[in-house]
Amino acid sequence: MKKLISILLVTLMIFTLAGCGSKDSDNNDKPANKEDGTTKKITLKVMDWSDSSKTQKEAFFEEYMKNNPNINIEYTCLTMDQYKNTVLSAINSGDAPDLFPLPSGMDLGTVVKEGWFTPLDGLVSDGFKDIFIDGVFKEGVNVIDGKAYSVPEVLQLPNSIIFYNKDLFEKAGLDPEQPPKTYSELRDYAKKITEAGNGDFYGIIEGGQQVNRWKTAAHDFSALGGSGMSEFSPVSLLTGESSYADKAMVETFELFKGMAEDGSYHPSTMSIRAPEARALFGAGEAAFIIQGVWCIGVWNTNNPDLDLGIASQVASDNGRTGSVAMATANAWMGVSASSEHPEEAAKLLEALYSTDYNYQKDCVSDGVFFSLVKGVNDEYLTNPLLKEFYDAATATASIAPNPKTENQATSQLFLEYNDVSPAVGDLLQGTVAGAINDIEGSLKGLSDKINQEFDRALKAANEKGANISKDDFKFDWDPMTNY
Amino acid sequence: MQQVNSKKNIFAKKNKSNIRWCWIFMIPTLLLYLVFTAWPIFSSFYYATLKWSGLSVTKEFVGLSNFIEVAKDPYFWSAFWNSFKFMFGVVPIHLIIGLLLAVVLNNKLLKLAKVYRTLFFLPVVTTASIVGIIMIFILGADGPVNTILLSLGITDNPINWLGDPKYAMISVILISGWKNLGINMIYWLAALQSIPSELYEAAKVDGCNSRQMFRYITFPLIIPIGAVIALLNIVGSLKVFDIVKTMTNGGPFFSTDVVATYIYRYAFSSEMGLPRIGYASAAGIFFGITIIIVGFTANHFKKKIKAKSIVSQN
Repeated sequence: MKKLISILLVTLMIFTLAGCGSKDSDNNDKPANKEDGTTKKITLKVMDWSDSSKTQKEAFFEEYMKNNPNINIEYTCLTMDQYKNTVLSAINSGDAPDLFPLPSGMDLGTVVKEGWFTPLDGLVSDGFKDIFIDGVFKEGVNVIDGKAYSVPEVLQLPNSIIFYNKDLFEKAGLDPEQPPKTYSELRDYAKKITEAGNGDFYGIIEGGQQVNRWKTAAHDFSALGGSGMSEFSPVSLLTGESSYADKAMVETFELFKGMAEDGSYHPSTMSIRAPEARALFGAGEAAFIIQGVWCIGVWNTNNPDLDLGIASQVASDNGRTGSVAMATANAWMGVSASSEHPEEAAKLLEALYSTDYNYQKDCVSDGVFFSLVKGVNDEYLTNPLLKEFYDAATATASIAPNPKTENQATSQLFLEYNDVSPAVGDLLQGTVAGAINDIEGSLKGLSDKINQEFDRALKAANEKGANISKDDFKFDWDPMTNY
Repeated sequence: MQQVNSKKNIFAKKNKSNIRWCWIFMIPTLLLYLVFTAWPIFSSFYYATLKWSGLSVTKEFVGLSNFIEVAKDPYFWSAFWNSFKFMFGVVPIHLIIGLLLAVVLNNKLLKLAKVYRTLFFLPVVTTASIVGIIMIFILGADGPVNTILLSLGITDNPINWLGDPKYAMISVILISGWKNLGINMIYWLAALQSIPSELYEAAKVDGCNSRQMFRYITFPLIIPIGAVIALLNIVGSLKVFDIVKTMTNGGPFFSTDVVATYIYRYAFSSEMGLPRIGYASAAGIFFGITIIIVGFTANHFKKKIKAKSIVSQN
């Protein structure tokens, strides 16, 4: 009897295990239409951090699934930090989403060598690249060794534009049609508004926990003072050396420190992220926020009464001697190299830009972004705030040289370069938080470390046959004009 | 005599078969230990010698350079000392307040003692990340703590408890101390309840008051268990991660950065470039060795305390 029970138990266990083993394959290969047995239901996983276009994207996915009943889309939208950590773990465990964007701060060439993305050529239709405006598929940006690996999300414009609340300007006795133009004016206005607010509203707010927001502000504000810093290179595009210790950057840091010392920052600043800061600004709790175009659509939906003003970055009191470094497009979404359905994923990616669907049109008309698809902006850019943003952003920005586009071999340096920590974003965050008092000393330390690491990475790249020099990162460029 | 020998043989045989069965039953645990504990530890020694993102197949052997870089990084040492600051803040809360609570709640005359015990234990079973997120709101500029301080006129402007480097670490220590207080209270309760009641009865007959009973009976008898509780707390608090990650993410400007968040930053995220699993492993090993040294030291003191306590009891 005991033997019989044992045999039964073992048999039961084997069946249970067999059941576990076959579960996944059942799910993946289950035909959607059992009658013909040919169409298989495919699940495509998509992940990004574009919270401002989430509504439009979800509507697009709904529409796409309706038109393609064999496709099921699982879309996950995270914050930028969460996304980075999640996607790295997913890639690590071999479970990367079918479509995912290049995490911020990473180099496409590097991750392609790491085997993250599969080439789009052959997966997308032949005419796909032609629907975009010129300059999108550039070597070193979205193209690596002649193959396209990613598609940009939006027309790239600086995301350090000053948004301001006109109602709060009036409450503080300031002219809402005269936004600040210099460092002193911004600091002065923020202080006046904070005083007028008396605890109900403050001068300025930021998503202070997000280091990338501080980095963008440091790069772009100092670029107007001629620092030559950009997202494209760890060193100045003008000198080929780190310019973090230069006057332009020190002045930028002093501006932010000054605003912190004046008590102009919203008290929540250091413990919140960009989406929360955006919501508090929309609710009228702060007069200034330094942000990107994607905020406009969110405020249009959530805060229709917000009287929004848009202004360019402010320049040092000594005047403007440079521009914010601008590229037409950045690398964004690609098809995972480990995707089981690369063709279907590429088709979905293609549809995201197709005018047969409403995604591009909706995002432009809702004020979420400027499209890279030819003709969409001309036809659907009806939102006056978006036009204002475009004017403000382009007034202080110039197309900048990108080392990777100019000389492909420079990408070898980025493979070798280890990010220096704490970076400029950390330092500005620390300055505003009150943890750093010696601005010049800390920036000098950062500058020295970057130059040292840059030289080391350059040497290591050359040892591997890159044949590049510092001159490949230094450009004869007048930063007041397009390169 | 022969009978005795055969009996011995039977026991020896039985013993051998028992041992065999013990080993058989231990195999699954041993296997799990090898796969999930021993293997990661040994592989991290190997990873620490590599320049590797943890994601790619390309690994470059760099010898001890990761260790040298860790040792030279002032932010690693800042995280290192922050871990100890956290430990020195949290452990006394757990030990002293935990003991006081246990003594109070061990009083059989106290009504609703079980309800209070449950209330103090509740935060222990709540996930650290949830506690962290809720605390961001509670300690935030518009949160209840600031509302009370402002309404009482203690401060004119709201204090950003987690966003100001002056207050961030102390806030994290207090929240973590409160969160794990319940489990320490339970440890102490178990210690208190292990003391035979006859001792108290005898002391009462001898005319001891409650303070004398605590000083001469309770305290010496629970001290050996207290040493174990201290050891667990020291090692546990040095390894803190979740509550710091969710409440401050190591900020502002690294003021609450502990070694676990430092390692996480290099192993799983990087502002510019790929993660550095080799470097993170080196930092992990560095700190792991420190914890082992601290653990051994604490254990040494624990043994001393235990021996002293046995002597004094005899």
